[in-house]
Amino acid sequence: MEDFSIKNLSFKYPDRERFALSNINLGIKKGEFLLVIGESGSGKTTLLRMLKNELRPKGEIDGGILFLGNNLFELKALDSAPKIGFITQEPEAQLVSDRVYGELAFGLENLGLDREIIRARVGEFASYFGLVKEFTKPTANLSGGQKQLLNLASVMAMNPEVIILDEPTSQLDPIAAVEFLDALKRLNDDLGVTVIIAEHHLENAFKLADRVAYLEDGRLFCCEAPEGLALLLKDKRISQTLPVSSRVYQYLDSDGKCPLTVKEGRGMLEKYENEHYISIKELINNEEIISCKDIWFRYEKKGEDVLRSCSLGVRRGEFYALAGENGSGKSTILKLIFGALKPYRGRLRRRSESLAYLPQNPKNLFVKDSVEEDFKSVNNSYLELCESFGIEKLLSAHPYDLSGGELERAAICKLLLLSPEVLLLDEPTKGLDSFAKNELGMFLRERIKEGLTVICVTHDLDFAANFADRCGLLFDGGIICENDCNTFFSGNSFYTTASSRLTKGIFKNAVTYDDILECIKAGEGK
Amino acid sequence: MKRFSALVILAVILIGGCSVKSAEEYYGETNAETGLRVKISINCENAVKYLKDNKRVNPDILKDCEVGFKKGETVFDALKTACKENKIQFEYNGSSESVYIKGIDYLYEFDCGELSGWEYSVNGEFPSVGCNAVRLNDGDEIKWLYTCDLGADIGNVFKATPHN
Amino acid sequence: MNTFRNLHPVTLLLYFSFVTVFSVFNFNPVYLCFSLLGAALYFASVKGVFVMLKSMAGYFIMLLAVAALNPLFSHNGATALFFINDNRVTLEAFCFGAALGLAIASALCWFSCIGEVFDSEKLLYLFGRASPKLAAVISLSLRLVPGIFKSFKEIHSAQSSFSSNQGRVRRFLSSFSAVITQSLENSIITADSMNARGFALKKRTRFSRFRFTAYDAGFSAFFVLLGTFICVGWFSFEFYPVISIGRLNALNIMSVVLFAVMSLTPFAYEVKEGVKWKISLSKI
Repeated sequence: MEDFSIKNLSFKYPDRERFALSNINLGIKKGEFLLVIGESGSGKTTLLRMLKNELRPKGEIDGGILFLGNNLFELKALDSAPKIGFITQEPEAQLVSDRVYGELAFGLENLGLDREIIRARVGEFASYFGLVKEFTKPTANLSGGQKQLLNLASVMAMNPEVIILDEPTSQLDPIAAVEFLDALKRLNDDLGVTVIIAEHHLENAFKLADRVAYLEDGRLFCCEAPEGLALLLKDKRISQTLPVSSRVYQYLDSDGKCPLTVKEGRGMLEKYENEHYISIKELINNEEIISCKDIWFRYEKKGEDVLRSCSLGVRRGEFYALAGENGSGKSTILKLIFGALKPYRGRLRRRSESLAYLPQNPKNLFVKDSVEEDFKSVNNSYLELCESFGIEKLLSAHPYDLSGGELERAAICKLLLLSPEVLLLDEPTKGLDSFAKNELGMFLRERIKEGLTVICVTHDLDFAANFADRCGLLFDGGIICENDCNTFFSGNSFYTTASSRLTKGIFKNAVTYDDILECIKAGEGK
Repeated sequence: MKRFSALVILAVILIGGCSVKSAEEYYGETNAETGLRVKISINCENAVKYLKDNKRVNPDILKDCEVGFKKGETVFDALKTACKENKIQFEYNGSSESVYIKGIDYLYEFDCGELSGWEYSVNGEFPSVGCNAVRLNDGDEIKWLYTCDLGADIGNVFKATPHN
Repeated sequence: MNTFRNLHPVTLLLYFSFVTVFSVFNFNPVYLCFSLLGAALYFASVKGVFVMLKSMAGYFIMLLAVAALNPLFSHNGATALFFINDNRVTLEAFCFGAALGLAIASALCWFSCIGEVFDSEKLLYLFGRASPKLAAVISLSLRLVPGIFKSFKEIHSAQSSFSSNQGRVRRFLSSFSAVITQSLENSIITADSMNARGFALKKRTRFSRFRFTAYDAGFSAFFVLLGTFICVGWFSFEFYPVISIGRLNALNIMSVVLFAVMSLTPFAYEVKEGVKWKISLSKI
């Protein structure tokens, strides 16, 4: 029995020439874990929203969708709401209630269920999702990961047949994202609920899927088991986003099954063992533009110290990445450097007073109706700068209409209009897909060539390994290790990139996919 | 500090404008004899009928009293003198422009319903102005009467506005 | 540990409406003293003796001020202390002012207890009883309003980088309009999420963690009974023209005693449960 069977489905938004979806045929089996991938604008979100009556966009629809053998479009609202669950990428904005248990009960209340039934259901799902301690707390107190788990739990409480998730982990830090995906897999395994999920970070999601559907310009390119997909996508740009093991497999054209995890991938590389390494680049400039020496900080007089004897030096013209767990004080350091907060002990010296700070939500930098007006309010000679940055196309748009990557670049440009010497970034890759991340990284590298210093707080170890010069790890109120990126990531065994884990003990100092390729090429050349 | 000194100045002006006397002092004062006299009576017959309790049985709070006055004094002054001489409590509202008598002998306006209160007549006429606006003439007869019906029950039928 | 505030919200509402109504519309100092005592003791058991004493000091100053001011505005009363411009300043008016101050103090003290006992959850439960749909909306705004303040703060501080380019008022206004736009954007997502979960499809039920047990019913009945007998035996306290209580009968005395019981119930409840807890601990 198929949950959904999509037949010749085409869709066009009003006033658009192009079809957002064209001629899609896809059957989704009961209990299947289906991953939908594709570049942004390929129609992932549109396809997922077609499957949920309440959220279906308005426009021309051709073809049809059957849900459990019946026409989905004619499904009664009282059946559609509980049977098909939907979760979007905003953990916070999806919440309705002020308390956790209220959120869990929300859907059940809407169905008019008896109070004692709701009590039982709510209790059951709170314990299944590990939300018992938070049960009576205000939802505002939860972390981003917990909020998204709560969204999942409150949809699950309605006993859905299918849950549809549109990039649910894009706003979460990597650890919370893994936890969320694991919870999802567990639901799928334990309860047999059908999962349809769109994701752009595939390192963890790829291996969970039974099948992966790849969308390209609104067409379904293929829908295969993940092992089979890697070869089909070989020449596609999307393969950049695949797990590093699968990418290496693609490159090597190896025989056998495509590896999806580090464990499976290491076998391919064993023959190159210990022969090749990445040499460490010398850092030229030793002048510290920012230096913190033994600084201490706490937010409240009686609170705990966030930073304890923390020392940090950033050199002029480098890209310094600061990694660390949630709540380790990364953002606090950034605010201290910027001068928004003051340490209560220790010395903090800035060789330059022109600093610019990009907050976690780049939207907050924009207050006007178009990007251009916002730029104009800072500096009238914005046009040349925008041209040299290649963002003049974005000027006429409303800031909120930009995609995540565009918004991030526009925000950085707005800050650069102040011509700062040091740019402080707080989680700039949050919510960006791999392509946007790459563009952002390259954009920053170019600014660094022009003499900018960048300090970037990030969870995204791949981003740091690919673009930063040096990397520091904040733990227990201080920097516990700090080094150039290759030494830093190859020295860590868990807190490191998948590429580094894949090549540990095989290639020395290889921490990115490009590093691996370099080593392999060197091996083949011999 | 500025606000505080302003408060102090205000308080001094307020207290300075008041004459504070002890009860003995107040009731011990007597008016200089001028030979000019008016008759004054205070009657609450309507209240006695209305309340029907054993606390207020005597309708005559002040009966056939004569008080002296100085030239230029008003009905209000006559009431004050009469009350002072007979140690009767009264309470008034208002300033030099218009004085309104709220209560006499613990009997207040509204004690007997929404239309109740004190009114006065001079020689049988009910002036429609405040009692401090009516000058006294020798031999005037002033009656303070308690009404439960805007004056209808005390013969003040022509009154257009209920109070003052 | 079980505490008074764990009673069902309806029972608590019943109780606190009784005591506040009795305190606000009442100038009988006999009742008011018990009312203030009960409120103060309960407040102390919730917030600590020190906080209670601090607020009591404030109430005492207020009481003195009201008592001192009332004779200047009311000249009723047989015992003239002195005269100001032909107006007598009386002992009775002073006492009435003190009683008025006492009433205000005890009402304020009960209100601070109510503030401690009724959190947003209980309020939502009580108001949500009228309409489960309304309850959902209230709950949503309870979450949204602090969120809006938070995002305003974030936007405003993000704008501080550009502070040299705009005046303070303009910065405030532009941050404000940005908050509105962002909240509208988010509210679309929230509305989608509500629709996706079947909001407003049919008559909602309202789930709450509160259960009205026999225990709560017992307490509610107890409060209603007390309230009735207090009213039956109610006696008035005359301030004017002379302070008098009149002749008290058995019902009047019972009324005062019951009022004392009622006022002291929350404190006694805390004490009793505290002792019970200690005993149950020592048995382990």
